[in-house]
Amino acid sequence: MTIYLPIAELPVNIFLLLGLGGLGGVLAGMFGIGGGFLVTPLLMFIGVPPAVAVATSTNQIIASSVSGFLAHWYRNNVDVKMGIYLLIGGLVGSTIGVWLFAILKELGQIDLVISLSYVLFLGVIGILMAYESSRAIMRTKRGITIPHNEEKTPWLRRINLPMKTFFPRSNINVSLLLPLIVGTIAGMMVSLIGIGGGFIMIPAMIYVLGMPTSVVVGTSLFQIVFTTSLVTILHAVNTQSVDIVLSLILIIGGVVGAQFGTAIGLKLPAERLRWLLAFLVLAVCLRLAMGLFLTPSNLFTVTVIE
Amino acid sequence: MNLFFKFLLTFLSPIVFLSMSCASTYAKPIVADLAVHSIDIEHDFSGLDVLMFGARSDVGRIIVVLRGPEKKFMIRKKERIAGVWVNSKSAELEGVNSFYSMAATNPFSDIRNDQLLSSLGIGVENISMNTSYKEKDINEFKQALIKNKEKSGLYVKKVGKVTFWGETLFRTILKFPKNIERGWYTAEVYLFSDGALTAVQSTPVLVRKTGFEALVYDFAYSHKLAYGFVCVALAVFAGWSANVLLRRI
Repeated sequence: MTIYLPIAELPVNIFLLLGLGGLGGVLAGMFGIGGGFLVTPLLMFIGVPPAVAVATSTNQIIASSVSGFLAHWYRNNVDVKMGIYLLIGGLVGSTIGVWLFAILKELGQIDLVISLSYVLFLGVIGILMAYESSRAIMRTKRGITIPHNEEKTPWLRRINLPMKTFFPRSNINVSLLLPLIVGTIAGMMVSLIGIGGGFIMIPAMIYVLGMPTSVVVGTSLFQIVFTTSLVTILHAVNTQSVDIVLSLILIIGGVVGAQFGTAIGLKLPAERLRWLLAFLVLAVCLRLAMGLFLTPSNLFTVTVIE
Repeated sequence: MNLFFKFLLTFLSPIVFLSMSCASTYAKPIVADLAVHSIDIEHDFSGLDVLMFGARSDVGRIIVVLRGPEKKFMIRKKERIAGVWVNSKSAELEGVNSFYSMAATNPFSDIRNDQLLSSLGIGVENISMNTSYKEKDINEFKQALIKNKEKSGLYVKKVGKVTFWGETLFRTILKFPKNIERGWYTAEVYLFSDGALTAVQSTPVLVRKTGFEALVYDFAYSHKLAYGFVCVALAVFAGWSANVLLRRI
């Protein structure tokens, strides 16, 4: 069954899209991360223009983040005060990002920047994950268990930054500048490459801010809900590249996929899963890189301006 | 639409034909009309053949040209920079027909007035393109646009047939492919005798997009902010209902 995507201006098989959304959902369920970093490049592979792929997955992330955020909210796993400072940074970063996005689109370089960012980003994440998970697999094979690292004060917090503030829910005392900077970087990633930014925020919250792991996911989802909402609106106004039909199909696929993902995640050993994901991430990275380096069959691209 | 068209073709067109040819023989050297003057594109639109019929009161060859609305195009050329293929040079081409096809009483090549054909913009290679791009390689960009259009079936190089019923009545089929853009199209009829143009007539055809997809597109482009808010609201609602549903299960 073919459906016509009104903004991408492309007829696509609806089951293919449901499958793509489902894949993102499975990943989200298995690994507890948003599937945006894989769904966006896969959308580009089936012919959706990169700008539309990025803006639309931003819209899709709102849905998965709202649903995840509520689950954490009911368990009181959200540091609202920290979330608000991350959000202020996020709003600034994403506004800068959308502004850059529009300039790059005008210059005809947005597709290149999106592809390059993904190659870099997926390459680094994939290699790190492959290295870490294969080490973990080796260890379990040899039956060695390594004790968790003793709590060390993160190096960034040892620098004496001004505006120290106490965050009661996380029970930490950090400079306001840290959540603002982390939020800004995450916000820029939302608008430039269409991912939630949890990838950057969660490790930063644990290792840089020293927040307790229990509140990290809920707090980052709190921030992501609002930044992705702002970015969706900014993309809709500046670049008209949010495809609501595409987004809703991906959301439906994602909700169903997440259920399967959670079930699979409970059955398979965690390090095997991460190794599998690393492999997937590197495959997508390689495919994108090929597009950048191989000689294209047609050197010219044509776009209608008005 | 198709059924309606078939009905027109079978029953009505001979009547229209006759009445037209009677009325027109002494007025203009050429007169023509289309069976349909507006086309609605819905999501399952698979192209449409429209009958064009007419009469001439003069001898000569007939060329029918169908042009799509004029658009502005940006053509970008990729270049290898540090191993990566990057868009580098670009040219804007303005006032370019977004669709082009033609039909002629065969053979078309008999009209040996290249200058005339080119000034009338007849033939794919003669489609007019305005640009402020000054460099020598502008032709490369023009050719790239033509190639792109031909590949997507929006410039049709193959010349269709204009057939006669007797000496005065003629007909041809104008093919609107499934991927045509919206806007005003014009069906032009030229009458040539001895390499000179003796008559022209042009008929407008409106191509509209209708249905849900067109509605969404128009909304996204005309009420940008409202569209953005609707997208956010729908996604929030979807996320919230997923959460409610999952807590029940």
